[in-house]
Amino acid sequence: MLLGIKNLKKRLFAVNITRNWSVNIILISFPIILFFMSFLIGIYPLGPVEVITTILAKFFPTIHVSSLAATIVWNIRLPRIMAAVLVGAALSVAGAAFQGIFKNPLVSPDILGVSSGAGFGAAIAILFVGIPLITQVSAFTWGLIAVTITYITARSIRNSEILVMVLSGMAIGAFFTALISICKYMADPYAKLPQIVYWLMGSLASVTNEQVLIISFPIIIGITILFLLRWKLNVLAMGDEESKSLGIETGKLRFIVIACCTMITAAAVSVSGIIGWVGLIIPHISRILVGPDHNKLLPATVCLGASFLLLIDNISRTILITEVPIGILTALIGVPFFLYLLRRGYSEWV
Amino acid sequence: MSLLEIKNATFSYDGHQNTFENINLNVDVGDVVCILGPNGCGKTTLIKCLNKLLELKEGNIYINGKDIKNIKQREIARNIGYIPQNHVSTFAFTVFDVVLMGRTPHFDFLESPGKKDYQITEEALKKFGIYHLKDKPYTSLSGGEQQLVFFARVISQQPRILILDEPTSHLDFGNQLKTLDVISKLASDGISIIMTTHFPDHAFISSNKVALMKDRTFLAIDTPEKIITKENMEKVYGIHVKIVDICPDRKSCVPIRP
Amino acid sequence: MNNNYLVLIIAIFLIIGSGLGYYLTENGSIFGKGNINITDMANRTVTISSPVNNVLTTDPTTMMLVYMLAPNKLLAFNYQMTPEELSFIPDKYKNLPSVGGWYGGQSGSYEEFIEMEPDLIFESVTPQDSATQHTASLSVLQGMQQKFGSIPVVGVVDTSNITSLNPSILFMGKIMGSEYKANQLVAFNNKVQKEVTDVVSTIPESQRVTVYYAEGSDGLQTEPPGSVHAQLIDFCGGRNVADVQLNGASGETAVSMEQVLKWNPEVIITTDPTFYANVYNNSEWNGISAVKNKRIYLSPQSPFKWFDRPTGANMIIGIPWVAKILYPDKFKNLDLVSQVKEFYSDFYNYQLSNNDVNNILNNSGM
Repeated sequence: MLLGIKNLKKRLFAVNITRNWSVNIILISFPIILFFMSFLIGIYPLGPVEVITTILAKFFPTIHVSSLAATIVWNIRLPRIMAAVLVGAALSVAGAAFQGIFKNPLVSPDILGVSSGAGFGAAIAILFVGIPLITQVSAFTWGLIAVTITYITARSIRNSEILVMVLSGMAIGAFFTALISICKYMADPYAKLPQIVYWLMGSLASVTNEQVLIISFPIIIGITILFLLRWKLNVLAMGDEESKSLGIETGKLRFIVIACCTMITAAAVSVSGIIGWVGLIIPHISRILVGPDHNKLLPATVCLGASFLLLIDNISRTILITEVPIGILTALIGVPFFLYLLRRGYSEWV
Repeated sequence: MSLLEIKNATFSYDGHQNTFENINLNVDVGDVVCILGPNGCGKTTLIKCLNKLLELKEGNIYINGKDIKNIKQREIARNIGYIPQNHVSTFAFTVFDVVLMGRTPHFDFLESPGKKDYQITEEALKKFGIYHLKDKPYTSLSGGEQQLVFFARVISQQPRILILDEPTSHLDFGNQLKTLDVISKLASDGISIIMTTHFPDHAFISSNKVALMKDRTFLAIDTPEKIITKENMEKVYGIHVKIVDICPDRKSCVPIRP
Repeated sequence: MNNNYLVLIIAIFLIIGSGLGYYLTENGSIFGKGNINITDMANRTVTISSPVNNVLTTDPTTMMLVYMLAPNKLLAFNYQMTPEELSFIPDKYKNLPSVGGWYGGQSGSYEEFIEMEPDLIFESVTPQDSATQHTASLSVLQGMQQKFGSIPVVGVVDTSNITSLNPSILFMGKIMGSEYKANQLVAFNNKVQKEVTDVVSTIPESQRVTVYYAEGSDGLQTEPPGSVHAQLIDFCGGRNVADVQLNGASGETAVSMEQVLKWNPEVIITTDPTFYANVYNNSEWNGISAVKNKRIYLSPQSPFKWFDRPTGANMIIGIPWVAKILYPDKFKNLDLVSQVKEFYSDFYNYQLSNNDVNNILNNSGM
């Protein structure tokens, strides 16, 4: 068994792993297995039989099942699991695509300011309204607005220079972060302020099925478009000049990719708050496993991102009684893992 | 009608100072054109204007009679291939993937490569003798092998014209000549080549037309024998050379001390 | 390899699937066991079981009311009590678990709450001043109800204003079958309020005592007149010197030492033990009238503070305390000791001896 693991490890880290079937099998089956197992995890004790009966009871109303079990499965665990899968996949794919178009493996989906914008949208919604649905819509909208401002600013300064766009993103992001601080300052420290801070730290604890449904549309559509563009993304990752010489309208392609990634990230953040690290390290790990070819990279990233966040969320809702915001856990768990990978194979990295 | 026509081309980065001006050149089928000139004379900029990486300030460039201002990037890419002087690699794509990218101008906005594209890629790899490297990351290859990968990519693009920016600059002595061989072979396959170079001697080896560039314009365009003369080299590079006849059809330009 | 069509088909399938999936999981009303219908304080009709034997709350204000009205029905606290706060909680309730809740920013665990199998869960609702607030409260309640499924969520108005507490007290008493106790509490509330207002209404403006409410361990945060947190000062006829802007709904407003010196209050009230322990030794505060005359008072802390935070039924016993602090002569006949004993025994479930009460009052600075 140990020998088997060592073999697998060697294969996972081999340089020449483009057609490695065992890796593909794991990548596909792991999230699926994890998905079903997640229904069994939770503080309230539910055995596998009960869970299966509960699921069947939806389709065959004659089967009787305790209403508490139904609540736990459909209203508590299902939305969380679906949200973890969608948000994990969304952030990871957006990260992978951004790393390609900015030709920089250190880029995360937040680079153009979408998270800060969304945070600001959530903060003002919490401050002035307090209805969860409005908070979600506001976060999504302001995320888009922030990136639009970044894009327009960058183009007006120096059209088609990537560095200018990244710098604009940093500036706009910082600006919105300052606005968030103003909101925090204005908020009453016993009710609104903690709500805002908690939202910013990222949490899937109170996700509803309705919210999941709303975000699934932009996320699925965005990921599909990115996948359909995968061949062009490969070329774009080789550089602007070479892409143009191969016939790609780099400005137009970059715009579409940024629009899709922003839509995906804003949707994810609107429901989960700000979750860091996932968009940065999952694409890296995927690249190590299947290479930079977006044809394989994007699906691998979807599988890994979804599994990773689902795993962390499962941990978050079982180990501790009160909820620890998931944004904290992804950093605490993600960082050491990232450093380990970095140490292990810097040269095989990209 | 020439394959490529440059008429009175002028370019400026900032709108005031011209990088080059009044450039005129015709490239026909089978030509191998060498643009010779010192550092900073505008060679690379001129090259980049040919496939619309940069836009001219004045003047026109025609491909098959069509003004490139009116053609989309894709169509230009179907006709002109480009190998840049420097390549900064970030991601370790396999050799096969890199060469496959050359087929991009031939697919649609959403389309992916088809069987035909894979076949052409494989042929291109075999043509340059790097088929056995196809699954290796291109970043792990030597300079010479990487150059071959880029050649294979540009061939899979199936262009009529090939633009090379100083193709021999980063190569060792042996690889330089091997590259010039490749260029000659491509020309004999019917692809026209425009390349910039720092080595007048290379012009003797591979080209049939040389354009001498200095002070932002072409001083002359003619065969290598007529252009590469003692006087011209002194005028353009400020050094002394001797033009030597080595064999019946091989002249050489050798720098000497005065 | 044209996967593109396959991908498009999968995407469309996923989108339709989500829609269908959502439709399937949405259950409408999932109220399971229940015998009687009630209308909660957010005007929702809720079916609850009768009688109600086990209760959980989502925040400290409702928790406190359950503790006062029907402590044996409370399944858990919403926060971990400090040893000092536990000192006046009888042994049988000392070991109640702490399950967190939904107040401030934190999120409790839905499964944890469900596992304890309460008959119902009380959730605070802000007073319906505006339509937006009403919608906000309703949507939060509905969200909660969805998560708790067949366990009814009952909304209780959390007014924070002692003059409008009574309806919430009576409502909760009715739901839990503790009407007698609720009436008792209301009666006590009315009694102390009347006792104080009767006297205070006769005090002319010019004779009102100036008071500063010192918050934070350095005492340099405060609340202006009109703030719910300092309402006892206003209610008991004091003049709150803090001439500052109200910070949000209840944000502590920062002030400088100079401002406090300028105001020179005759009385200082605080809830922070650290501030109280240090103030008499702090030379910066020496010049203030309240310090010179030793009229600084610390609110007792157990089981809940008397003066502020939370702003709920716990402040009822604060009314006579503040009155006596501000106007000891005018309230000479107010028997604080017996009122405290009565309050603790009837509502905090704890028998205090005369000695205990005197200790509490002495430690508060009286």
